[in-house]
Amino acid sequence: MQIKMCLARGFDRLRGDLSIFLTTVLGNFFMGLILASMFFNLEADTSSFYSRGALLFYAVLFSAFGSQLEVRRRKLPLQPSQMTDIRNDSRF
Amino acid sequence: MALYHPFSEAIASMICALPSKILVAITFNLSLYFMTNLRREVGPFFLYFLFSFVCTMCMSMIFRTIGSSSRTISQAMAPSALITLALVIYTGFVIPPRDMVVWFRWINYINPIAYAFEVLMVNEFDGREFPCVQYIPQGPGYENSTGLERICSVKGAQPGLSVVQGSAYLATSFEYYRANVWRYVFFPYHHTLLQFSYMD
Repeated sequence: MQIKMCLARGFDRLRGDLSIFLTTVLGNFFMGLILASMFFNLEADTSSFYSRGALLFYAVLFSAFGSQLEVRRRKLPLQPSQMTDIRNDSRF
Repeated sequence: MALYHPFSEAIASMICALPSKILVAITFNLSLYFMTNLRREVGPFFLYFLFSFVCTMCMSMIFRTIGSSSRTISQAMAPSALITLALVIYTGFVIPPRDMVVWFRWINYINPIAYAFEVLMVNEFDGREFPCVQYIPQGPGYENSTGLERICSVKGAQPGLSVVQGSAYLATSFEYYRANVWRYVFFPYHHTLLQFSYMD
């Protein structure tokens, strides 16, 4: 129940401020394009061995540290309308 | 006063981050994988995608754990920067596992990125034969060397062969083996669950 409320609030916040969402998605997409064009069309022979390793290393690092900003705490109180929901809920 | 358990907020914020994570994973990995001509097969592509995504989730959990165990953002930045540095250096590409000094080798063992990287490397190289481009010896006087007189110039090459086995390259330069791959599927999940249990 609490999870459902927090979830609804979370998606409301997401919908209310789409700029962060769009910046993340588009930013990462362009980073992907830039990274891929650095290693564009690797030859399928021994000349590309080191590049393949470097590319996979970069790819996994981008995947891993894309969410580094999540260390910040985002605790906000519930909205007044949701608070009354909790107060009226017999389970709390 | 809003009385909700931090745990419910933690789960909710994780789920709310999923749409952007999934979308980022699709756009980033799809363009990266096919523009650079990585292995064009169905299985390897989806294995690559799976491990990239699992790695994202796992690291996200680790950062959330650090964030929730500290009071301010500046307090959280110090350990996260330190951990980032250690994880990047001990992934296995900058320092191959065989060259790691023994008293820091454990960083490689607790590093989720290292496991993901190992799987991606095996996924890319194993079971493929790469035609040789450059032979040793090379230069004036050696143009006519053939057979066992010459060897390809990359790690894992064997004298006299005109192809290099991808698995031989991995074994000699990184000590990565196919047999380890599916064992590692469980590691990041386990790690994710572990971090999840620490939340708030």
